[in-house]
Amino acid sequence: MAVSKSTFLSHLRTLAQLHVHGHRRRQLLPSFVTLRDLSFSTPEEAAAERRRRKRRLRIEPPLSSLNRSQQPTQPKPIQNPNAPKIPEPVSALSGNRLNLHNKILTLIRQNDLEEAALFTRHSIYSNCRPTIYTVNAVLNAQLRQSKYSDLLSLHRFITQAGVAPNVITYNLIFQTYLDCRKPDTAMEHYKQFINDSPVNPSPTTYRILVKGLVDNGKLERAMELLQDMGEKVLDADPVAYSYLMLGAARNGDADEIFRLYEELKEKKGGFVHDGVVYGSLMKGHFMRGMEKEAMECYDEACGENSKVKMSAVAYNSVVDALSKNGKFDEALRLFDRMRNEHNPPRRLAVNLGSFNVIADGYCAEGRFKDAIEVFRKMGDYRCSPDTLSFNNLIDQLCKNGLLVEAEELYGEMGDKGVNPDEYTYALLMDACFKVERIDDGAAYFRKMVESGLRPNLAVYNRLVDELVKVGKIDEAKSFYDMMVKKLKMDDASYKFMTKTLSDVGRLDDVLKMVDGILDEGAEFSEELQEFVKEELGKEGRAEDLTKLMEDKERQKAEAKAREAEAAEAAKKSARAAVATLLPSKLFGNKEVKSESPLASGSAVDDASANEATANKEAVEEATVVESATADSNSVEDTIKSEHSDETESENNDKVAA
Amino acid sequence: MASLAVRRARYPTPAFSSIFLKVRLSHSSNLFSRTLLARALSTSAIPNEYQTPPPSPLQHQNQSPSGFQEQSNPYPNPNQWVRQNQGFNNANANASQSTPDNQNTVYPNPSQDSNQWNLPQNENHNQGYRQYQNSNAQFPRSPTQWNSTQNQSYPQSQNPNQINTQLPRNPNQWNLHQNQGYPQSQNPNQMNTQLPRSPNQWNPPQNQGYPQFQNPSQMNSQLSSSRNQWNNQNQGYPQARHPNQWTPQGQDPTHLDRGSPNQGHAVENQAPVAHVPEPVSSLVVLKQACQEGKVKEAIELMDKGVKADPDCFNALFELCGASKLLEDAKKAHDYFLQSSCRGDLSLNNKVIDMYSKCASLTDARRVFDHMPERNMESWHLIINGYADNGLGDDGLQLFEQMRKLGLKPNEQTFLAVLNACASAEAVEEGFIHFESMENEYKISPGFEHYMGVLGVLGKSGRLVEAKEYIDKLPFEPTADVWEALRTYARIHGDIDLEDHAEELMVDLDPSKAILNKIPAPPPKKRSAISMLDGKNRIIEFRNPTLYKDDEKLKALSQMKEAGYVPDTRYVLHDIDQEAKEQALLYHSERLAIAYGLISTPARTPLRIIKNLRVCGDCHNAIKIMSKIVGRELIVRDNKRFHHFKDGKCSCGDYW
Repeated sequence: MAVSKSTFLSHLRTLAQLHVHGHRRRQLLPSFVTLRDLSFSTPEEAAAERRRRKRRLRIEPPLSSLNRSQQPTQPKPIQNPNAPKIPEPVSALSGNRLNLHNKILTLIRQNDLEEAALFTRHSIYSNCRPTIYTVNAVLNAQLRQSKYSDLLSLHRFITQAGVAPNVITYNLIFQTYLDCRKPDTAMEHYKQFINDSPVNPSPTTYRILVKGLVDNGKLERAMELLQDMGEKVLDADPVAYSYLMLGAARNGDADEIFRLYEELKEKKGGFVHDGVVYGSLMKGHFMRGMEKEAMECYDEACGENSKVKMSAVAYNSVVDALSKNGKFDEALRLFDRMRNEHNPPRRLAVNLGSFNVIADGYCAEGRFKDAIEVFRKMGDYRCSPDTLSFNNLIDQLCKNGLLVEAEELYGEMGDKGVNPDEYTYALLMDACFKVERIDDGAAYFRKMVESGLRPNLAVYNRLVDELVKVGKIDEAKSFYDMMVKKLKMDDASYKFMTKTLSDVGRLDDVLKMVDGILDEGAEFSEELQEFVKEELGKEGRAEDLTKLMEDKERQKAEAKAREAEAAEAAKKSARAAVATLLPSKLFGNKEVKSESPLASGSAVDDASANEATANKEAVEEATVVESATADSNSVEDTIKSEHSDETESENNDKVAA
Repeated sequence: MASLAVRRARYPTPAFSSIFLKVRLSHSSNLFSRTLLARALSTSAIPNEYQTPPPSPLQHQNQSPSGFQEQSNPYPNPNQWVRQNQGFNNANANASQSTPDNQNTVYPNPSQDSNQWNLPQNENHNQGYRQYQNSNAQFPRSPTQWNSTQNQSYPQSQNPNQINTQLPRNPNQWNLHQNQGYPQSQNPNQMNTQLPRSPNQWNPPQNQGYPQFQNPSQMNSQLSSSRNQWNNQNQGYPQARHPNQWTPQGQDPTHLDRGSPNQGHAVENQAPVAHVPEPVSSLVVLKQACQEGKVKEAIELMDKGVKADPDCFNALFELCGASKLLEDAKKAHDYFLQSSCRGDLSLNNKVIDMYSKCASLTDARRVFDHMPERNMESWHLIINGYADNGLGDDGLQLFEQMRKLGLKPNEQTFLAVLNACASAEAVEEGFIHFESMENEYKISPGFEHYMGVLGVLGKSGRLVEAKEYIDKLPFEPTADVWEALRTYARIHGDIDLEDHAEELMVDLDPSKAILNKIPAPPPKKRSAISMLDGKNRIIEFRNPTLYKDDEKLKALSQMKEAGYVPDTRYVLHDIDQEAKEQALLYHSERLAIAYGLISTPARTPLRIIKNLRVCGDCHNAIKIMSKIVGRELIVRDNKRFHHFKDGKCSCGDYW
């Protein structure tokens, strides 16, 4: 019975190895039990690692170890109060906290995210603290709706409130920063997470990071991360590899694609079952001009009897590879097959991306009608287009001079509940300029700004440029006036406007402009100053500028003086108020005697009388009259309503359960 | 009707049921609980009176009602009562009081029928009754009328049938009570039984009825509800009240504080049972209590020295586990340790289970460590216990220990281990154990094991991995699998996955469809689905930061939320600045608000009452607080009410 530990362990190891071999053989059959390539060979190792991670944080040793040592008086290790906490286990989500969770989930479904976030915050200050799960749900919903600033502020809040984050929270934060195109911040958070957190990263963590880094053009960093991932507890993830291969394909780096594929193949035991990598692999082959190999690869992935599991995303990348490399007919065939295979909800072979890819393909073939048609059919497959796919198609149409069709599509966006973004408007505006429809272009710009979008300086410059080109100076000026309050303009934009105005001799407007710039407190650089002076000098009014600037200086100085005066006055009045409010003797000699002891005499007496009684009573009381009062049975209306709330939430609970 | 059903269910338990019934019946009455509460608070001195049983029953009887009633009604003693009750004649009361025998003769008649009760022609049995009847006649009140008036005053609808159903039990009850009635030690009990009746501020007529029964024997007669009119009336009263009165006694913690366990609440009424000479019946009673889920009563009985048998312990442990009351559990365990069956394996297992349900793993582990012998079940229970209480790590350590001891884990063990892994978020270990199960122990995994692994992934927040795991399962995923995934997605707040899993679940099992489901709002995130890399050129067109005017707006709104600056003008003591700021933090209204916040759910308004005027600094602080915590804070100081809401006060800063 008593196998010594070492023999036992080696026994275990051999068993595990045997199993790995057996498993590989079996995997050739279609199937199954995932054997993951685990980074620990024994549970003891895994447990040791996990515990080490926790113990490093000086978290109390497990209960049982105390029992075993039979030393109940063992002093507890002093905990660093700032040490990261372990997130609450799922079992914390019960009772009232579960009711709260369900309530907030309902709010999220109603898309009332502000209320959901507020409720979560307010619950921190109550007898029912939200669990990290509830917070995650809100954060997730905010991310889903691209409400990044709300997300970050809620995250900061719960961090301050001491709600310990779990791996999902971290994932959401990484995703947020990467979506906001701040990969460096994301990586800083990642570093902190790895160093400090008691939580282990999940494969999803790495997927998010790798994808985000690749999308942000940081391929090398992503590669490093992959190494990191290998060292951590995780197994080679085909999805993460596929992101990297996609990035390499985008960079046109065929060697890298092959290298990654080989690496993955080796780690996975000679065959990659996940279809996501094959599209990129084909692209790599095509890049090398190895069409035959590419098609072999295609057969391997999508042929009859293929053992590769193809998801919608995997299909899409293959379709993309085919259609971009002159095999559009093949791509169409595959697309048809995907559509036939599509059987929601069980089998999802087509998604929005498929339609984007195929519409792209049609456009590349010059078959725009077909592209629009297939795009409109999307609804039959339970896919709904998003802004990006509209933008994509509009872009294609505009590029090919099909502005009318593009505008038609733009009109459809509203019906489908998709909101156009800056990209959409800028595309349409540029397309309008191209066909000399300057007014329409300007109208798009105006609409964009009015609908609360924020075009950047480049878009504005293009607009003003076009307007001036066709001589619509007034309109250009009006756009300048509109945007100067919003955008932080650079010298070039100012110069352009100055030049335009001075060219038509509207020097007064130029001066007004400068006035505005100075008022704004924006930087009025030397260079710009010179430039304006020069322009004015042409008409001999250079000194006007100097005069204007001096005026401004003086005004500023005056304003400052006024401010200081006001502050002084406020201070004085505050002091007077204190003096009237409080008996002067209480201030002792520290305070200047108040000027009007007589006038405020009665008030002082009152106050001191109050104070005296207060001191006599000495006991100051304040009671909370109303509370949850589950314990006190008093029946009050308010409490009744609470009860009904509770029952309601219980009902919710039941529904959830 | 519901109450009726309860009674019927209890029918076979003659001894206690009438008493317990009352407890049960009254569950919902808030009205009464209020009065009771008020009473409990105001009469806090009384229990002492009870605890010292007066020398003779009679005397005692005379004392006690007065003691009670002084607060609630103006009839300190029977004589007074008589005076006030013009309708009753003194003789009547006296007669009934002085003739216990008479009454006793009446009781044992078991043939009494419930119907007879309510009928006025029920005249015969004793004099007292008849006189009473007369009195009733003088007051234009027949028993039925009684009921109706009572119904008016208390919303509880009283059903005459209910009264009747009690009847058949009477013989037993009665006997018991008779036994109680005479020994002195019984007095406290009687007192207590009276207590709930007397205290309320009932309409005087009822209280009038009361003193009549104050003699011990009569008391008994009341309780046992013999069939004379007396009883009828008595029953009429208490029943009308019971629903209201009794509950609080059973439930209200204030009553628990009254002292010795005998006196507390409904239990005390049972206590006499323990004095019944035959131990058999007490065991029966104990069993009954266990069966009916009356943990408190059962423990009371054991306090009385009743020895429980294994069946009782079995039931008791389950009950304690279900009620999650550690105190009860510990008591039950104590008695178990004193009992002869303390070595019983399955009962010990039950104890472990009970403690882990009560979330006290230290206790569970102690029991486990001291068990004379353990079977697999014990190991499973303790590992599962750790897992369920979020201490999966300890569970896994135990599993290691178990293997070191050379025990061969079975299917159930692995379920427990997977459960522990899920709880400790030990994903890797979960997989290792899962694989070792097949390789090392040649146990082929069943459906539950796959679900266990899914749980490991799902509970530790690896939702994507969980979904992929389901795709790789060696069998077609069933509706249960999707339901589990849906639950995990729901826990972690992933709407899309939740909807997806739910769709698949409903597809496989349409009966699980949720009807009034709110569809998820469409996502606005663009990077999620798109396949088109590099097409997302929004960056070329969008201004990365806020516009200047937006920023101004934001800055303004932040200004509004500007932090709190302590205003030390209101600290009048001659201390340094820091100490002044410190002092401001302990103003009682702030402490009260802080307490209110942590003891109420979010968004409920708080009402604070303060005896002094609120200081300016607190006023400002509370304004800010109301904004931050999103509640209405209603503060009354000695000048006025302040309604703080959204950072503003209704007084407009002038008070």
